[in-house]
Amino acid sequence: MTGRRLLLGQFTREEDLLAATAHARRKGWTVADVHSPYPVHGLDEAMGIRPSRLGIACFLFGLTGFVLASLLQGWTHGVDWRINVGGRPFNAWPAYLPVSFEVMVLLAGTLTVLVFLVVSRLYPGKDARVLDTKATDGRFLLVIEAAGNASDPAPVLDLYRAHGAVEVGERQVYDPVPATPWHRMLRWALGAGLVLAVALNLVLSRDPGKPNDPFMPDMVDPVSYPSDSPNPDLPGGTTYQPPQEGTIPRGRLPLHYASTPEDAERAGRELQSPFRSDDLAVAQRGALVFSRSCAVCHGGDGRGNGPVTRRGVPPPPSLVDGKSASMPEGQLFHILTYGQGNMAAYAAELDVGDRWAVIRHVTGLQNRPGGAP
Amino acid sequence: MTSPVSALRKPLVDADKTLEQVTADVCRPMERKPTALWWGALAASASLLLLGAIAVAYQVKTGIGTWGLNRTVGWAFDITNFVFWIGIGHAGTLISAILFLFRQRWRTAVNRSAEAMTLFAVMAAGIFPVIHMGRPWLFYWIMPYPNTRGPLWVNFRSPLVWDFFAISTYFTISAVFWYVGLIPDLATIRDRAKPGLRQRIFSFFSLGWNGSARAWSRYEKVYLLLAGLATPLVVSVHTIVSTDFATSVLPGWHATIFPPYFVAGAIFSGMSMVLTLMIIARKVMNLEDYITTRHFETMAKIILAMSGIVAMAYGAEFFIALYSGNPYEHFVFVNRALGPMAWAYWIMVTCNVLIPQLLWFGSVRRSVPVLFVLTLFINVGMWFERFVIIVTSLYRDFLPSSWSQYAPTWIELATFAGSFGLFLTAFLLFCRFMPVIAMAEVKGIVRYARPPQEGRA
Repeated sequence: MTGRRLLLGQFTREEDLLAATAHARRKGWTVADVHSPYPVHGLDEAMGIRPSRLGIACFLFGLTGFVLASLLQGWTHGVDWRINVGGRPFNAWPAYLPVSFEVMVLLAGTLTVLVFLVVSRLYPGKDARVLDTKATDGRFLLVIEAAGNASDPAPVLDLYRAHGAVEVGERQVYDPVPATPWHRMLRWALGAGLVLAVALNLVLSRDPGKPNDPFMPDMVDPVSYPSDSPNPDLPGGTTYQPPQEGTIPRGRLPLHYASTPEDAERAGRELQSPFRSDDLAVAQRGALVFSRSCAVCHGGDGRGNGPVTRRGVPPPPSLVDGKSASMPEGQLFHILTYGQGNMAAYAAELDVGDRWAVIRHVTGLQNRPGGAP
Repeated sequence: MTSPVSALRKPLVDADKTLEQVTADVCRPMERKPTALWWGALAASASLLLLGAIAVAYQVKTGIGTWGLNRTVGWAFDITNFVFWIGIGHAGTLISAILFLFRQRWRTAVNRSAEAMTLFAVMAAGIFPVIHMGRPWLFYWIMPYPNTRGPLWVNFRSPLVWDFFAISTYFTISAVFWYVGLIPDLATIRDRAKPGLRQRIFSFFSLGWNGSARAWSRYEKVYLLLAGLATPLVVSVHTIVSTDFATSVLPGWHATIFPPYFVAGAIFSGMSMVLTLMIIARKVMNLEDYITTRHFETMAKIILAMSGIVAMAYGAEFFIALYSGNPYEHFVFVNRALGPMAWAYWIMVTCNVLIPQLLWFGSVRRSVPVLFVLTLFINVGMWFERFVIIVTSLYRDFLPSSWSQYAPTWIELATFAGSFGLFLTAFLLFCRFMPVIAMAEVKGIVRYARPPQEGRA
């Protein structure tokens, strides 16, 4: 480990410091640094420090911020999220200026300071390597390295004294400062913690079917008991209660038919559509329900050529000719409700009104007298 | 002690201090045990903060139906307080950035505390729009980021989104500016501290600063750049706040005069709040040599000028209402000055226009107690200005059947008190644990307008 020998001169007046610095430079000595409690104007020239180029960096950061913010806003409202506000243009660029300006200032300000800290090698917890604590209080510290043509300390210290230095001295510094065991331990602990966290993240499995823990459930959880949860206050200890004996739910008139071909024929004799044959709203509803629930097998025109039949599903018999063409509406209703052959029961999918509506549509397709127009 | 000074300029620091004395004077309040006065003030303001926290917790849990708002008056106490605090937060950056660019070197004595005040005022301001959202835990929805809600983007053409960008940028840049200014002073305190926790903390936050000339050279450049950025920023922030109102079509809000009117009002209220706090702080912390009556006099002149601008804006609003020939505009302003809420209007005019006229007199500007009372009036007046703009433009709208009145509930009052609690608690902690005067900057001006020192060699 090689040390550096530094020759220090302490001054109480900035004029003395400036004169001593300029003098040392004229002698060809390298001024290692000057530590001062406040920025001494004229020192940059005396030490030969180049003016900082942070202004250029600041300009570029500001430009980047302005352009990025403008592009984001233009893309948002011109492309991805074209919402109409009072009929004004989607890409209303004058309205983007405030945000673009703020982002420009934000990036220029924060990033310039960051670059300043990086180029000045300042970071939290850095060892300041203070040569004398008075340099942040009330003294100006001129530092010349005892090397090159200043390797003899005596003339340097004499020059300090000649310019009114109140204290002169030598200091041996080592570069870099070796890390203390405590620091090494901390570094190892942090590194090991990071590795452990990554490893655990890779090893531990997560159930993707399980929802995440909600941070703020925001009324997702019901206040009442869910119907499938136990309930201490109700008979049987369940929230769900069987319906009262002898009652039926509203809108669920029972059908007293079994799922047999005989009962289907009986339904054909007994049941009538509740809708008038000239009810246009029913016909429209029927067309909609047919296109959603039936056309996929039966085809849009009811001829049994729906899209799934081209993919291997056995085609259903045509609705517009053959047996179905003359089937009573009540029997169609029974088949729709209980299913027949390959056709599934649609009682769960379609309510009673929709079932009759779709039958109205089918009889319309069949051009029956009394069918939908 | 006070040696003969320049014939043209007066020194900026009253007594002839050495650099070491500056350090000692500024650090003394931090290094001694806190006084009973400080503990008392902290207890009082922390109690207010606690009251506010309870009120906020209650209204977040229950909903903002706990406020006195109704269908006609949809903005009232919350937005008034928001604009009030944001306005107060303008003085810090004004002093640190605009006066820096204007080479007003007296700013060095007050800029640190004014910047701290800015930060705390913006924090206090930030509470109100967030709880105003009703579901504050979703406040981040105002940020544009790819999300699982569509993605649902914010409407960048809305002034409320501009507001979010302006306030968050302002807070960030103010905090960065403040911290950059603090770095050399933190290093000074680190070097004064005895080995121990205090030294370790200051060592961490002073970023290894040692006063190197190369670092100073870049530091001054960065400071200049930040001042150059913060100057348009401070103007933009209250301009954008004013567009929250001005872009609406409501008579009383829809006015092109709003941006300069709001910016002037902000500087007006911010300066008076700085004076209020500084008058107390310099007395309690024995900093009369640094924060002098000349500082107060200069700031009083700024306040007087801003009062003039604000008065002109009040007049211009009435003139435009008359000149536009718009009956609705006409009604709003007649109603504002003569209607059932005229008392608020006249409090505003008295505090903001009439009382500040006393500042034309030099004896008033130089009398610290009078100035103190005067700034309190301005603080009250500027709160009422925002209240008048918001509530008296709303409570009697186009449809007389929906005319209503507004009175705050105790929840709103407690929240407002809580915002003062937050502001004062933060300020007291700042006074206790941070150098309230920018030592490094003041050291650069202690010799200002003084004869050269005797050589010591």
